[in-house]
Amino acid sequence: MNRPLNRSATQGRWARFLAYLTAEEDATPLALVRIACATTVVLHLGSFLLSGAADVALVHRELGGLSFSYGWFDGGLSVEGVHLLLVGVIVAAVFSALGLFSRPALLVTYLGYRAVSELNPSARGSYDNLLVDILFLLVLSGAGRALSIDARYRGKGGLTARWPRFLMMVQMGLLYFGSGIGKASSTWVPGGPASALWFILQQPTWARFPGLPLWAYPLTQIATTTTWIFEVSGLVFLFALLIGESEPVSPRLQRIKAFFARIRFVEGYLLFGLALHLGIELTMEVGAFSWASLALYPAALGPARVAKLRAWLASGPRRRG
Amino acid sequence: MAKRRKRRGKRPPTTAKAADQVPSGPRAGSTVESTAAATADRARGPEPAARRSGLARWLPHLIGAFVVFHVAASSLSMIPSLSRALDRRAWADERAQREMRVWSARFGMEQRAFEDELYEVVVTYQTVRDRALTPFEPYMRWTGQRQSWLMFNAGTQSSDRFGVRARDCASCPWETIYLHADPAHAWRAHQLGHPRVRSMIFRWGWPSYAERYDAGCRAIANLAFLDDPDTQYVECGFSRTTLHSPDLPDPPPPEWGRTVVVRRPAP
Repeated sequence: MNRPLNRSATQGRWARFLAYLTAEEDATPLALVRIACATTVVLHLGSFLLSGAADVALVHRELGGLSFSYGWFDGGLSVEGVHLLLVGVIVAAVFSALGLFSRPALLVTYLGYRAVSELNPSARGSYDNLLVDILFLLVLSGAGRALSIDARYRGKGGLTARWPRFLMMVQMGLLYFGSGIGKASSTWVPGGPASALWFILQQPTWARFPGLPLWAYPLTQIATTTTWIFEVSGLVFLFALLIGESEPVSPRLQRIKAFFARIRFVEGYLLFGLALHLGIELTMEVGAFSWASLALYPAALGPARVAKLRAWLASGPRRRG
Repeated sequence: MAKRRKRRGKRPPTTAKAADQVPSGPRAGSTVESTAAATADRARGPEPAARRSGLARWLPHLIGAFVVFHVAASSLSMIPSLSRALDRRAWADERAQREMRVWSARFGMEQRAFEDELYEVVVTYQTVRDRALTPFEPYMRWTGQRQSWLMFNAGTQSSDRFGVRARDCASCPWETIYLHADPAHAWRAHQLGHPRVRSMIFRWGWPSYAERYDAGCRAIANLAFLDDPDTQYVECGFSRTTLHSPDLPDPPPPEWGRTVVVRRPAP
């Protein structure tokens, strides 16, 4: 007797889930992700090319480089081939950022960036994984429908489906949670000396500044514990984001939603994340990781918060004051 | 036929429980209130014109299935891989040994027994993780996605700093030509100091990367031979640095070690 009812309930949940995913919304958050991500690719690969580091890092050791991998190219690439590939990806990323032929440009950027990172897997960073993950979702999305030449001059503007942004929010939650649960050393986990950041910030390989004064030790202990809590809370953040965008009927979920809204959990989490990434950028040289992470933030802000932010920015400093 | 059409058009009942658990359409402020209802209808059952098109009817379901699949694949991939920990050579490193000492003490175990026990756990964990990921592995591989977010997992008192030394003859003194982040020894620093190259060299510091370190040093030596025709020997190495801290305000000086020496090839 219960079976048909359960089936109907499941169908109902599925239908509402599909309605949520396929709902159309303002494309501005996705467009901001597109611009931030593509700009990060341009700047990162541009510095890689111009510094000459690509000439040694991406060339196979049989051709005089440091790589053990041929990547997608049989026999590897010569220095000239590496230059050609990097310039091609940079041009595609510029088109992506401008929103000119957005989807094809994003597709070329995504494939080209993968080709670059496969040329030497040892020289890959977490930011490569993140940029490829974001670019894949951008290719599938309607990120070119706002803040783009396509939208302004080619009549391609309009609303876009929500599901790519949903997947980007999931990506953010997984990024932080995955990073947090990996920090299982005694120097990270609360209850220990909380000295991880004290030592990490002075690692000669990554640090921008050679040494920290001893008086800063307690500050780094606080930063260590708060960073760890921030990261392992990644799934709580994701839950808060999703419940914030839904209209729960159950009183318990309504209370949870109201609680998150009252303490401004999502805004607080994003602000902490912003401070964390700017702090990393200020004190360490870790490639494009911070910018790649921040590229996802507009997706978490969503159309409503982005619209408010734009209105606030447009109101001018005098009125804001 | 009429029966099938009726079934397709039937909207599934929405229970309070379902509404609790699944997010609904956009909120006020998300600019598309009017379209939310339309898309909800589309998901429940397509409009008469669209019903004739199979793709339009199934597209929301395909999207839903893809999203569920993608989230499952990404979530499972995010669970950290410990494949590198299966190589127990890496456990001999001083930094790993320090962790073993701390955690074995916390668990009240003798260190050797703790390490053996931990190894068994790691093997089981990795086996289960790999099996769970198997159905999703082709998708992740073909789309190039990775969800490995292990970054700065440990902050340790010891750290390695890469350097390169050169000399013109077997009995000549070594001259440091590159030491990471040292402006006084900055040969090809624009290349060796780039974050991507540093990332690669950082890995060479671990025992399990010995082979790559050896080959990498040979490539760097070739650059040095190219730049200076007088150089006959190149040595790569790591300056093992102990960082200062409240527990150790005056650390010992860095020690140069783990060297690889490359001799200029005969013409």
